[in-house]
Amino acid sequence: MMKNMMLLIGGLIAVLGYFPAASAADEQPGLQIINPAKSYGIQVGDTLSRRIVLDLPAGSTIAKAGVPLKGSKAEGIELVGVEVSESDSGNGRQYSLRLDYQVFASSAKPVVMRLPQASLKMSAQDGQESVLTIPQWPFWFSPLVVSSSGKAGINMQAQFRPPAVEVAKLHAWLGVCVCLVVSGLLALIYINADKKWLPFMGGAFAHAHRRIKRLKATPGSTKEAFYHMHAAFNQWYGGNCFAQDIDSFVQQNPRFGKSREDIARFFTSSNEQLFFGQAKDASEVIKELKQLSKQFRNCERGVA
Amino acid sequence: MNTVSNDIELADWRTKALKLESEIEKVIVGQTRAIRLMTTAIFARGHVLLEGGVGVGKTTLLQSIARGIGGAYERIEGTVDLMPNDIVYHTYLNSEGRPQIDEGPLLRAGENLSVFFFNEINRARPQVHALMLRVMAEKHVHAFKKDYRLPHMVVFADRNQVEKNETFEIPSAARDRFMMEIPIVIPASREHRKSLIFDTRFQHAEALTQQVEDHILQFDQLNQFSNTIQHHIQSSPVMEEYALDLWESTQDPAKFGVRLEGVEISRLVQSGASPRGMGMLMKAARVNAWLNGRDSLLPEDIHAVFHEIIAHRLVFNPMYDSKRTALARELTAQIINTVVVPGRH
Repeated sequence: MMKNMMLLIGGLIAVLGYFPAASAADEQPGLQIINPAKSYGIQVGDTLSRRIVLDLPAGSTIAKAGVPLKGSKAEGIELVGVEVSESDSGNGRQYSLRLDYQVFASSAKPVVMRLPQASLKMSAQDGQESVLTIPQWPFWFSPLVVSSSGKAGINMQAQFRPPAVEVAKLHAWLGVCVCLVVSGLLALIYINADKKWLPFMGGAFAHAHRRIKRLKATPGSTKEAFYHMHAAFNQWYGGNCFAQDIDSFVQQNPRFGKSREDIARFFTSSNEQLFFGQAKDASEVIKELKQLSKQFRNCERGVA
Repeated sequence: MNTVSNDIELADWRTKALKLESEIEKVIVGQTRAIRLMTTAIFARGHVLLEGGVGVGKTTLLQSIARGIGGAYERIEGTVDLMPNDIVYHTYLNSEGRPQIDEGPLLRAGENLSVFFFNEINRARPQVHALMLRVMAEKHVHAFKKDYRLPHMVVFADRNQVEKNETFEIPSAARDRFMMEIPIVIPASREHRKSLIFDTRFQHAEALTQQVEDHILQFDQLNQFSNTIQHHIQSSPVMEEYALDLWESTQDPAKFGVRLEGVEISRLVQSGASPRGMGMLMKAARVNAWLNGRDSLLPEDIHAVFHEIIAHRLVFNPMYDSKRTALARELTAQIINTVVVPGRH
């Protein structure tokens, strides 16, 4: 009995002398310590498990009170789970002890932390007790943030992926809105553009053409249509432009030269409608003025 | 009168009016516009102020017109001692040595008086102006215990604008009686100027006037025909609105965006065109339309006579009165250039 006891103690001393080379302890007959596979990148909240397999001779036991107490803490590392199982093994008994540690310690920089040293109380068949010390296990603690743990909360991510929102319809609406905004902006530019920076837009005849296009064919609308056309001529001429001014108008604005005859036609039509009382059908007049204003607009833009 | 004969009459008179112009242009060179304006005034039955320097041919022009339209031509010189009775009668000792009173230049021709020329009217006293202006308005005068009717008389008056000594400015109310103030200027063309000084036919004004065919028009029918023109020429609602805008712009040019360089436009005009002035404007514009062979008014018809009818009627703030001739011309030009037709009414 005494011999067995000596063997056991000798074996344990050999194991302790060997530690912290855990892999070497694993090779000791009768004792096997299986540490976590990864000793780096451990973060706050991680759970690390150590498994200790111990072969004891027949009659020797590990007292229930001899295992580390669940809930014990050391340097911010808490033993959160203790599981003991035993089975027959040849002449003796094999005890398998699982110790789960959770890391509650924190650090702003990577540091070496340790799973605490643990003690196992064993009693031999003759009632003699001995203590087996399981050595510390060092590991590298990795902070969640580099500079400050205070930012950890910000950087925390949900453990569960939130359910995805159906965005296909939103994409369609987004497309419609983008189209509306773009076309609205283009329209605003077209309407309000200054000739100085957009020479082809915002001209007097473009303005007149837009106004005339919107007119409905009523007797009153013909006067308004002529008003817009005359206003465009006046703007280009720099004053009131009348039929007798056509030549100087064209001379002053050569871009309208190709449409000289049509300009004369417009003034004749204007005189007939406004001053000679030769009222034509309103729809015909509006149609003619639409066509003329478009033509003069093209001259204005230099594309006629 | 039916429409056809009316049209024939209008065409016939128009031919005569154009012939009168061409006849006058034969003897008066470089005054085409002035001649057109005077023809217009004759057919609109308006009195005319002539503006221009001395020796530019005003008398020759008037004598030519008088010859062309027929009737009598009378003339009086404005002087500082001229009295109203000098126009109505003159006294002298007859061959028997007795004092005798005869009709003056205004009454001498009676109803046959067609052109009365008052040379340098602003040299005459305001009493003379008062008589003349009354006769111009009423076309008759009471003298020798009877009424003298002057129904066909058109007064042409010349203002001496150069000298200020011994002159009496014609007040605005008096200026308003004249339909037009027509500038008679030295022709701008070098050819015309050359003709005037080298062509010997211009040396004898009387002989020159005789070259104009006489009695082209019938002076005693002008009043009636003038009415025919006024009834014949039509104006559209747009044209009427335009005329109203023009009228308003003579009273408040700033409202219509009229600008004159170096002038505070809101303080320039004290009084714009009068209703009589605007009536005369439309009357003359109708004549212009008829002379151009139209039976409806165009804006161009108003433009053709606008300055000559409106400018002398405008009353300016005294601070601008020293430059009134230039400012009036600029203002009327700007009004025509700025007031739009058709307007947004």
